Amino acid sequence: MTDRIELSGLRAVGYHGVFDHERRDGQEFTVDVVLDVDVTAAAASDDLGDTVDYGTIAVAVHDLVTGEPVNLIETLASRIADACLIDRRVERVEVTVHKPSAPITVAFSDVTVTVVRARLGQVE
Amino acid sequence: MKHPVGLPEQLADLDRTLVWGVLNVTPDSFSDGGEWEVERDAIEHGLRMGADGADIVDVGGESTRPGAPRIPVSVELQRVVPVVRALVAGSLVVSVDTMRAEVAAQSIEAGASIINDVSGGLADPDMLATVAGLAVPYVIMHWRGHSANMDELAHYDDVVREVGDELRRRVEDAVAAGVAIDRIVIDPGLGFAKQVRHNWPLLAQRDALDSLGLPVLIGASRKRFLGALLADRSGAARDVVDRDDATHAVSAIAASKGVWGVRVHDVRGSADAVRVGAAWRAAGQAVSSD
Repeated sequence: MTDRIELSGLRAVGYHGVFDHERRDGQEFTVDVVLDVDVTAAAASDDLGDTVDYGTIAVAVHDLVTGEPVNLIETLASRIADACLIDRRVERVEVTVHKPSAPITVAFSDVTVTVVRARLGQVE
Repeated sequence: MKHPVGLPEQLADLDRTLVWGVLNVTPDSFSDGGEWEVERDAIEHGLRMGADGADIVDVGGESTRPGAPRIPVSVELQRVVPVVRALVAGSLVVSVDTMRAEVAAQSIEAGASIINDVSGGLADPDMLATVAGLAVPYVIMHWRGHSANMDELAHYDDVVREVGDELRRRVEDAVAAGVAIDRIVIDPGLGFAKQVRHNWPLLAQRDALDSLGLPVLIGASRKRFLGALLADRSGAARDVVDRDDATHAVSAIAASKGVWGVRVHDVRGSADAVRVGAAWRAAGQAVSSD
């Protein structure tokens, strides 16, 4: 059982999608990130330097959502997961990208893609 | 434009590709050819690049051209520090191109703002911890070994993937050593342990680099792959000093693709080129908001 840091409901406008109007107009994306991190050392020292700074993670996620457009939220989620794993203290990450205004012709409330990545590419 | 944290204020608001002017304070530099050997000349050249539109002047005391031998740290310090001090006094933003922690520390002390390490922390075991303590923007270049034998290391099955993976490990090492991720810039290291054909995919297929989510610096200026591209009918490569127009073309395209910085010898042409690229890019995005 590992400790977890969760960041939920991070919202930003991005231009991801396969349709011209998505690339042109943009839409809001929401991202949830769950990081498996051992926080024992940080809890003992009470020092931000001993844990994964969720503020830094949030900015990195925001930059990827608002940055270079990709066709698929699968790609976006995977890039966010990769960025989270740059800090080697992150043992595993789960990223969910929501695209509630996706161009779907029937009524729906949300569409999401979740990717799970672990260090060494292994997921239990 | 996403800038690294810690960039001096006068650059942090610019929404275009930044132009880095190369200032080699080396007698054997591959392109300056000893012209700027004297400290006074180097300072004058740096100030001129600033006037020509360099956003950042990148001061290096150690040649990294293919085959170049290393120099003692004392020589590198003697070449670099006085020039840094003079350019900073001239209100320029200065980066220092060094693989050594000691040079990095003394340069920042002298007023430099950025460390550009072509070895990405591999050459000096103290570099990453030093940069973490200095808390300045840090450029990590893709590098496989010192210039003396780097051509032997230029073997890839999939250059884009391998360079991306190797850069990622360097970034992970830096973060593990305490360097803040948002201060890091990556550079695919064109011409460093690369054969001519390896450079174009690194420019054109940036997914592996972009997936790191970090600003990208490109150094194509006057390099061999441009000389080969512009070879004459007999196959002889274009002379080093006649590769600037091609360099500016790379700068314009890089700017239109959102590359964060271009490192060039001839500043004036690339300063114009990145503005062309930025206008092109902005017009493409403006369609998006009409």
